[in-house]
Amino acid sequence: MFKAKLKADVLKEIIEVTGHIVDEIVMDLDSEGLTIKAVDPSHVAMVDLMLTKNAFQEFEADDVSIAVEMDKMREVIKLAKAGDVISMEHDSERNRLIVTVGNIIRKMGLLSPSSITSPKVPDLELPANVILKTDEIKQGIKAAESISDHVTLIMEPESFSMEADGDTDEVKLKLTKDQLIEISCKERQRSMFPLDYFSNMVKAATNSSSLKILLGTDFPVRLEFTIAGGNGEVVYLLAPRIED
Amino acid sequence: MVSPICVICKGSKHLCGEPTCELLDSIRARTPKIDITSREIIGSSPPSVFVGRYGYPKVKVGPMLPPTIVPLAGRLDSPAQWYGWEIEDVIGLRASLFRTGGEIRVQEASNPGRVLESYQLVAMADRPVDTEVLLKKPIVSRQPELSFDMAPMGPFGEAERTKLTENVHVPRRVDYIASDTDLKSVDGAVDLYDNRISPYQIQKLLSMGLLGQGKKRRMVPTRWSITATDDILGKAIISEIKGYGTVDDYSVYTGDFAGNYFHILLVPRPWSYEMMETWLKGAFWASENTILRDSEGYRGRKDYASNITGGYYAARLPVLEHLKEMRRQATVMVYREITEEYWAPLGVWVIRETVREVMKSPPKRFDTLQKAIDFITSRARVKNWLNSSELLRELATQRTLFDF
Repeated sequence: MFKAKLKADVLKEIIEVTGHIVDEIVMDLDSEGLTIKAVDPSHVAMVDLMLTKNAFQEFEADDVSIAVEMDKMREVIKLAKAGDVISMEHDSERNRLIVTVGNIIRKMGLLSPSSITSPKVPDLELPANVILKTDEIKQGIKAAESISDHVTLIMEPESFSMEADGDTDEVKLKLTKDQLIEISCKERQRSMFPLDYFSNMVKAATNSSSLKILLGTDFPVRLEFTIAGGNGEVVYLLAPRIED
Repeated sequence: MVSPICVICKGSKHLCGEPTCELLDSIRARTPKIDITSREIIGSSPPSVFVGRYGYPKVKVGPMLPPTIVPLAGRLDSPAQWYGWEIEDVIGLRASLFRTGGEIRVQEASNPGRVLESYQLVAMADRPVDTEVLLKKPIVSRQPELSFDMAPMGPFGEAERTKLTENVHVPRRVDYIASDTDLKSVDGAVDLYDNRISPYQIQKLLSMGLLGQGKKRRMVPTRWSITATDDILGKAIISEIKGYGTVDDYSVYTGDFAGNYFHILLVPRPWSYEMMETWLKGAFWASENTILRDSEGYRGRKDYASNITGGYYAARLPVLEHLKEMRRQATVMVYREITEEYWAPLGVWVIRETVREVMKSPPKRFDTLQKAIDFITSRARVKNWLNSSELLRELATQRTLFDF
């Protein structure tokens, strides 16, 4: 059983956070809230999203998994105006999600959750982390996008930097300790990542004012931020590029 | 004079500033001329139609036909049958296929007059159509046309009158889809393909404005419609194979035709595609070894593959057909080398048909990417081909989350 009401903005956040990773998602529901775990087809990027029931206006659920196509969710969100509340109810007999937006009722055919593999989130110990303002790194990505397709993240005891090397141009963003909200780094850590994935992740984090980045040399990077006004958390993992 | 821009232009963009391509003209000068001294042609259209691009949206449109009623006229416009032929034989065959017709606005396809309707009927046919054309003037001393994307074809003669002199045989599904004026052109093309209508006929239907929603129907210049068809059908297969598992190992398919040497690598990863081609010094268009590439990721590309152009889509389709048959997806790298043996461009069908043949041959299988790459390098004419591949560099450097 699943029955809930939520603000259109919250649903929009869910779509923004997961939609660039996969075309289909499985929502795992229980009495406490909603989780979504998904890995992209190349196994390079992963999202682990959790919303508590407080993120919803109303929420009721038993243990159930619902698999939806992102395109259909996008169609629904386009029907909503700012401030609208969207209601959802799972019709388990016909395997449909009944979504109400304003005066419109959309009965959405669902996929079989077993047709989508649920990824196991790798257990990583990442030695360094920073918390920074999302806007700062967003600017850096904007500068990098025109010149390269990959980006290098570097953490040092006193700073965080991001570098992009193109054929002829270079971009560097450096934030020193006093420009960061928090930093914890004993030794220098450095890894390279595909820029398109990293960029989509940071863009999806812009609803949160701060972003935590966890890094280890030649390990996946982990991004953490909150959504739904603090009633939800998102974790992204992104695998590195390792040059010989 | 061949210059470095020639391989980018391939005689289609006037990059050198000249009104016609000097290279193509020099080849055309060596090709056979067939004069039509009388104004009347009676011949079997294979069936075949041509839509020009000059003057768009008012373009030359009409049936193509040889100046006689010939048995086996069908082969005049069946690229699949030309695989393995000598280049001069393809040109010789096609030189006898004259373009006829007149200038018509592309929008007329939404509401065709009698003349256009009879031209459209030729595109709908699946057997040769005996056709009588009265030309405004004889066709004398004119060379056939050559281009990198379209098959060679005879010169154009403006028609005063065109008459189909026999009943035209139209496949039932073609008739059904062409009459459906609510169906989008993409959906119509895919439906026909699923119903075993050949991509070559679908291209003719698209070109003659026989697909799509009634008011939106337009004729599409032949050279654009060739790539549009390869792209539409390819995309439909891509969305299908994304539901399948990946191939099991690294396999390399090889083969060649008319100086076009192919190595096609399938990698056990989700769908993505890269094509690279090396024009070796001395090959048509190439003043020096030139490597071109284009690629797309899992989600496809939004812009046109402007380096390789039509060949990118022509190679992608038969690889996809093969994957669909295997019910597998893969990351695909197509590497083409063009030598001086390819002395005249014959059109992108050369790529489509060669790749189709190559994918039929048994591949060499490897358990690592490196072994597959080494195998290709051992056979390639250009040993540093790998340096240009962004896809292979990506595969070699990008880790997955499950490596940790």
